[in-house]
Amino acid sequence: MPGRNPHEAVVSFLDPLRDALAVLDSHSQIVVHKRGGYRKEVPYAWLLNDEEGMRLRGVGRLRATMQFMIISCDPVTNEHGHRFRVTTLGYNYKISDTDDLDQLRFHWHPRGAGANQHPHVHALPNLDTHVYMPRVTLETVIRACLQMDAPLTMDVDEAVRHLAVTEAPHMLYRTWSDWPPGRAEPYGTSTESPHVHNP
Amino acid sequence: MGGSRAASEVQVKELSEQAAGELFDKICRREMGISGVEFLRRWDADEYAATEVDSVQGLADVVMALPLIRES
Repeated sequence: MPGRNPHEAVVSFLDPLRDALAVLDSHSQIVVHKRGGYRKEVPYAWLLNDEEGMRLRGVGRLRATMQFMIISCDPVTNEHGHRFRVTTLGYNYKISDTDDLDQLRFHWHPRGAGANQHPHVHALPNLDTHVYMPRVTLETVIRACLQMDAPLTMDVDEAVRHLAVTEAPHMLYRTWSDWPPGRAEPYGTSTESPHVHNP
Repeated sequence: MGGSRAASEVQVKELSEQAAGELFDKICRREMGISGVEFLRRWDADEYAATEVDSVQGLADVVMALPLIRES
């Protein structure tokens, strides 16, 4: 998801996410605060809609927040020869039911106090348990909504194909998928915090 | 991607500083039951420094949204 400048890199980063969200039949917008203009090496966050998230008729709500940062990239490594790209710093996706009780939480919060280097999921029946798993894309979360019969703007087969296409740029340019580089694989499912190394 | 709702319908809304602060406050109130100002007071006092994020209700939600108002 490279760009010629920081702003263009963010646009390239957000466009596939906007396109993925278009699968779900509900009001959606990505909100972001660029604090005077996008700059390199500064953390930003985008949210889906607002603190209430996206209402999924008959299912509940989807809330999504992602932290990201603009970094330099080697122009040789992308087909357009661009010098900037966005890297993801963490995410927080939640699906709640019609009573707004959380059903699934997809977490990756590797920075700052209380950091946990490994992507994990909290799921019923025990939302306190960390289930470690590879990095989850927004498309994966939308597919979970789809499996919960969330209302769609297209039929299911088309939605699956659509999400594969929107996910492709991330799959192409991401630098890791299973475990963050330099981090030991966590030890399965635990209600205890894993050993954490801060970078 | 024929037949889909146009992605252009999913807009990107760039918040003003005031709107970002108000949204952060709403997230703090919803997820942790405290104001944004109170959260920042606790954060700056390192009250969460030794806390595993998932051990406090809503902390993961608020921490993830912190770049709305803070650079670090």
